[in-house]
Amino acid sequence: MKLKTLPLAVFILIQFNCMAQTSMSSEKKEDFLAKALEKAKTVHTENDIQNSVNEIKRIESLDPDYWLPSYYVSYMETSMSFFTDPDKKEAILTDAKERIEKLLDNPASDKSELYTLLGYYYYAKITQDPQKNGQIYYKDVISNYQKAITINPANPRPQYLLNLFEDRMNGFMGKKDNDLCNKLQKNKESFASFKPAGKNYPTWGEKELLSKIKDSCKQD
Amino acid sequence: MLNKLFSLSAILIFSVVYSQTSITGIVKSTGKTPISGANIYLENTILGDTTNEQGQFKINLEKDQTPEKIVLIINATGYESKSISLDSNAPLVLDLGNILIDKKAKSIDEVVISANSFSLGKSRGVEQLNALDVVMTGSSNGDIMGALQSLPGTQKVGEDGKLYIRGGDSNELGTYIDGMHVFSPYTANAQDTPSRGRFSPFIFKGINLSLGGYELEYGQALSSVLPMETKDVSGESKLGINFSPLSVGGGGTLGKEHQSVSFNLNYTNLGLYNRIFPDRYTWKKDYSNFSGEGQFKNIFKDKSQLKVYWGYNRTDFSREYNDINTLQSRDLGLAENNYYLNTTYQTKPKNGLQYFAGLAFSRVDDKYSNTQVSGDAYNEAQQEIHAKFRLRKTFSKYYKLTAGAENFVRNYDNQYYLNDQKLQNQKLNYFISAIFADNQLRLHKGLYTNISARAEYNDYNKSSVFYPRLSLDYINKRFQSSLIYGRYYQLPGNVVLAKSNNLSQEISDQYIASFSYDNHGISLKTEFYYKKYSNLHLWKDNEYTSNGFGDSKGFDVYFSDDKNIKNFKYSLSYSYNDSKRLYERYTETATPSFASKHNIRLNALYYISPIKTYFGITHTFASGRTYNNPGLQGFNQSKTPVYSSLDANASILLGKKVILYTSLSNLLGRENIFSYRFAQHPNNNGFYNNEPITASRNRFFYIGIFISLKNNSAYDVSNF
Repeated sequence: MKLKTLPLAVFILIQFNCMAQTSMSSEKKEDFLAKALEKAKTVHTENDIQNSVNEIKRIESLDPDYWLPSYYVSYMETSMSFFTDPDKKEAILTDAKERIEKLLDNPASDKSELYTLLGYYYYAKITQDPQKNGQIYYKDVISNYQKAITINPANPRPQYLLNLFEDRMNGFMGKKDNDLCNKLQKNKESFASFKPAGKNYPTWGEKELLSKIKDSCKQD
Repeated sequence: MLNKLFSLSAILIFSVVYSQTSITGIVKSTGKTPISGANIYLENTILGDTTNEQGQFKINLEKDQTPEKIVLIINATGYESKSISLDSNAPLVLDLGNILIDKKAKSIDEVVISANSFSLGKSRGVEQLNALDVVMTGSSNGDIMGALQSLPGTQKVGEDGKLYIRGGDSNELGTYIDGMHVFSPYTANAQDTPSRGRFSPFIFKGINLSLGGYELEYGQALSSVLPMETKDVSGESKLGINFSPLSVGGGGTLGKEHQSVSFNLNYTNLGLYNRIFPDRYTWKKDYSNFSGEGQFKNIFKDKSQLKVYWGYNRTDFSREYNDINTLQSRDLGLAENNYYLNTTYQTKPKNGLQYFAGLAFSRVDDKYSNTQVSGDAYNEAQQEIHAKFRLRKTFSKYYKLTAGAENFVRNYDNQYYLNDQKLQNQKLNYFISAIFADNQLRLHKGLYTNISARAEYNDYNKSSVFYPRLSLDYINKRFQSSLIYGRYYQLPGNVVLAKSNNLSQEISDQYIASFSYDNHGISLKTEFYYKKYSNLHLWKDNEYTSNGFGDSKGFDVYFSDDKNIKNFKYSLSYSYNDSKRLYERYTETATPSFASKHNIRLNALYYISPIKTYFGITHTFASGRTYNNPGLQGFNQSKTPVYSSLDANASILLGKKVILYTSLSNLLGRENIFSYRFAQHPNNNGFYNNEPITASRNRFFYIGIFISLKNNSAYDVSNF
């Protein structure tokens, strides 16, 4: 009996040790990233989001050529910028943009997702100072989303974000687009039929789209 | 069984407790403020923590597999990274106490020194005004040169419309597109009718007017430079048209991800307009101007960029001119063809190194008829080929070098005919070669210096000159201050050079002190300057000499606010200038007639949301300008009354694809006198006949509509 429990104990001890070890194998870093992304979906406070960002930054430092960690850091920083202090906003948006530019040079990165993120970044810049920046950046928002769509017409994110942005611009101009709900329905179908190109590839946006449809469109 | 379970758990608990280490600490800035959200982790692992509001962190790690060397990395956005090596034999609970990290210093590439310059648009990292502001300023009607006159340091010369800066003549400004020189940036002007900039403002992503003390990448400009950068490859296609009672135009772009071709055509004819709103003159041939421009842009696989821009401009008019000397009239006419071609190639910065090469061709052919007397003709052809090479290398965050070489080849030819007989033919051919080196250094956090030099040789007078430039700049988040000294040279204009053969390069020594403050949409700038001119061309004893001289001193103050009142932007600028010169045909030292002492401009732009309209209003005030009354002692001893003009414009967004623009200049209808023209000889009563030089019409009303036929973005009037 004693002999049986000893190997079990040792086995469990080894397991504890293994949890803290790192491995350069791609499976390992993909798993770490998958785990970190799962955790990121559940957090709400600024500090917790920053913690998720930091976890992903650590995964990035293990393999700088793996493009997805830097992509997600940039995406999360841009998302954070909407509700963070004005002083911090400038610094994180600058970092987000630098990351996107570096990633565009990485041959392994998904350019459609990057241009989507770049358009999203410019949208965040507009919200930093709408009166001044709206005029300066609105074209960059639209052209980057369009670039993303041209590169990958199956990508639902830039299509949805473009519809959202055009709707906001119409609102600013006092107009209303009656075709919005049809466009959003098409986006919903795009999301449903979208297949990410690899593990951990971006899939965000669907939740926000469904919530927007619920709020703005009468269900027939 | 229970015993075994107990001992098993004991082994597990024991191993967990005994093999865990924790590292704690508090991260603070050097100013002792705790930093939250910082990332602390062990190098090459994902083990780490994020600091909380108090800057505290705690990392738990298994002692058994902690690496030989533990390196702790601390990263916080906006701060320098820090790494701390720890002894792997460290105690189980390690408290590192306060860890201080420095704020990140800007890399030398990111620093933008804004002393002495104003930028429109998005180049140079300075985003003060949008290119749309060019259209919506006062009554510029989309004229870049007109819009720049709303900035401080510029002096109003209404009859001419060109840019006069800080007591400098209009030819003391060098205009550049994508780093290449534009020999003739203005349209031709009829006597007393202002010219305009030749380029549509919408082809540019950035317009950076430097009021003085400019970088030595440029030369041959005694006062200032206007570098403009065209937009990059457009990923989308566009097509648009525009028309007004005096013009019709259209253009478009065929754009792909890495390549785009654009064109813009415009035809202006004042005939119809003059019938509805006649001006003071009698036009024999209505003023007409045709302009066509195009650009090809390509981004290669290695992200280097090639741009080819071409522009053609033709002006034609003939006007009845009453000669004050002969009291007879003749039909003064001008036909001008202006050609411009500009090709540039720039690599993407790699390891801090970037190359640029460019070639530009400018040619202006002017044919004047009945210029001095009826039956005469004056033809003038000017040509310039500009070749330039430049490299930029950022060595570290402390030092950046910009160096290069350029060459200008100029040809000039004028002929004067009287009744088809050639009475004069002057030709001129020369070249100017230059090399320059600009060293930008970071001395200390926020303190920069620039030490530059430029050497030039020209084969007109076969001599070399040396330009030095030194500056000391202090930059912090909201405040900048600069001290600049530079020596600049310029050969006199072709017309003067063709008449002489031994003139020196003209010199201006500039001393500038500048202060600026930018915070939350408020911008305040003050600049003091002193320009000493020497070797100016001076007409003496029937020839030009280089014995002229002069000086110009003053200060500019600029205040703008584009954030604090909703939908409202305004700016106020005041310039004081005291100039004296002895040059050209002056008989004694006097204040030049283009240099008014006080210039005040107020600009306001308001957006009325319910009617989707931007209203702009500009008030310009300038003190009297000097002019020469030959009947009185001295030179330029007389002064015009003050200049005052209230201009308004409105841009109405009629729809996503239609914009209506309208403007009215000199709303109050004040009759502004720019100067006086005197007869050369007194009349029979010993009195010099004279006439005031005023605008061709008291008020100018303009209305134009811009329609986008194909454009994926809304409210975009640019076809490029």
